[in-house]
Amino acid sequence: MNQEELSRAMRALAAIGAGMCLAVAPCAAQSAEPEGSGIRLSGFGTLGVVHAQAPAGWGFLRSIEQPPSTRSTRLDLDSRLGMQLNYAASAQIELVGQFLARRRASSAAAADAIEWAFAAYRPTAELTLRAGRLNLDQFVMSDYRNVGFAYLYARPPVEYYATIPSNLDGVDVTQTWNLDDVRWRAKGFVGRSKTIDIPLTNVVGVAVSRESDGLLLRAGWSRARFARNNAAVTPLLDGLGQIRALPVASVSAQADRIHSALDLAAKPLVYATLGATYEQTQWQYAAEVTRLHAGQAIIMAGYVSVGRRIGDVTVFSVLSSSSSDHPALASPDWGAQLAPVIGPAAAAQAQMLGTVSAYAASQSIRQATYSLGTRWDIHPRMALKAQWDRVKIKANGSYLWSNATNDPGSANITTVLLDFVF
Amino acid sequence: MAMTPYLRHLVAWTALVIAPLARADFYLVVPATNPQLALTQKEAVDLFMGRNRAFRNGEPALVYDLPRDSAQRADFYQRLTGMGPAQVNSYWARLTFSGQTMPPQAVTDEAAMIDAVKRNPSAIGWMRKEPADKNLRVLLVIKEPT
Repeated sequence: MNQEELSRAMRALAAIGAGMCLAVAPCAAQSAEPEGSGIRLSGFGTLGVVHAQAPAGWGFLRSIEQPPSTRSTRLDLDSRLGMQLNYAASAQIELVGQFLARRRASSAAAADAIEWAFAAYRPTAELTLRAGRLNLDQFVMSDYRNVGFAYLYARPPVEYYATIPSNLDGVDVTQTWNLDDVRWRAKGFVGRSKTIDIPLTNVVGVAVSRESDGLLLRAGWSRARFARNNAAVTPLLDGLGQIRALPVASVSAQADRIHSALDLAAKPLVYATLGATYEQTQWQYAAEVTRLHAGQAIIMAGYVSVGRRIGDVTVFSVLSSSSSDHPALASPDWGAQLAPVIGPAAAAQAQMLGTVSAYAASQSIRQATYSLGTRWDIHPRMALKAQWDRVKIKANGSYLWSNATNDPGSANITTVLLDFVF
Repeated sequence: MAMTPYLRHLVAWTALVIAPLARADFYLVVPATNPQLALTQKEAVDLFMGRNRAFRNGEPALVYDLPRDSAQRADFYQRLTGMGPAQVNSYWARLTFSGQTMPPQAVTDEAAMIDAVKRNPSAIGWMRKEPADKNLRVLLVIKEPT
């Protein structure tokens, strides 16, 4: 972020803060109201600086929603400010709005700043129904991944959390049970979402968790469908569709295979996830693993972490990785076969299209990160964190970097940040 | 090895300075009209950590607390859950900002706590002095470990 952009962002944050205070000031008296109803304002934020030492031209990102950047030192990667308003209309009905100010792609819609806006209805102490813009409850930290103060790391492991859709416009139902010392929670949700600018329709999912004595076990499953393909892929699919229709059997079959590999909108995305966290006074452990079916590819991602608390300081280490597996595609050799059928010029075009498409369809993920860090609770509502990440990328395996090449590489990411809640 | 007079002096002074802070017992109180007569430590943890929202008879509980930065509150949660203030606030950040549960309503001090609990039939709060008020009932005393 250059200076002008930074000051613009800061002005925007200040304006949001001021607007919130104005909106809330008349309610301050109400929040002390003894019946427990009224408006409550809370917020969270992070101020952080990141330095990435990476292959030339590669830009480090924390989330798929961030704009590409190749600068090595950045303030806008982790810095953000969130505000939440809870209004208890009655003992059963609550309205919640959460707004998140952070650097987004310039193409992002203004409404993306609305993280949540929902109405919750609690007919009993154990049952909650919600409707509106909700959090897509996919992984252990999905709900609070923007709230740095709520977790140990500088950011949720990138290989695991960076590409999940952010929120759900729909409904969810949660039921809890307290059986002896065990707290069970089951949740179901339906609605629509999006990743960057591609809408996800028919989102359906369930999650079950079990919590007792500091141990949380969680299993989740969800599926969704891309409403369309990425704009860069659509012309390739159109071209492959035409080649597929040509009366040359071997070419047609090959074009069909490449088409299927690229056409992510044709098949639903299916996530299956397992997670566990165990927290004691001194030690904290966490592990999650997920399998994602996307088109014909299967992406496996996971992480394990351990933290040791010593007074106000927690030292932690994380290992995370992501890798994809999909059918191998031979680079096509169509020019000679097609020339007699459609003429040499069109055949050369088809050849070029085939080469580019096969290359696009062969993009894979092979990346792992080892992190070491500390969290220091300097105040009841503030934590100072420092983290060092060592990222290893295999050939044709980069995940999320902007302007990455297919070369193997490695990177060192150094982060210092302050997380706070208010 | 015998303690030097200087060291003994230091130990005595430290004990004096620390004693008033460490000596506090905590009294969990409800209005005397509440039918429940006692509370286990686990039930108290569940109520104050938002895991349970109701008393034994199923009536919703309105939980009161002191402000997030208060030293008494830090002592209270240390004693109740073994967690430090930042850990407790971090836990609440997870629940609050995932839209699940809001933390207990904070009142400014123990006098305001007594007022709030007396005024609300469904209230539960805590204080460090045994309440003299006949309108309040103590459900649990969390004693200083001996």
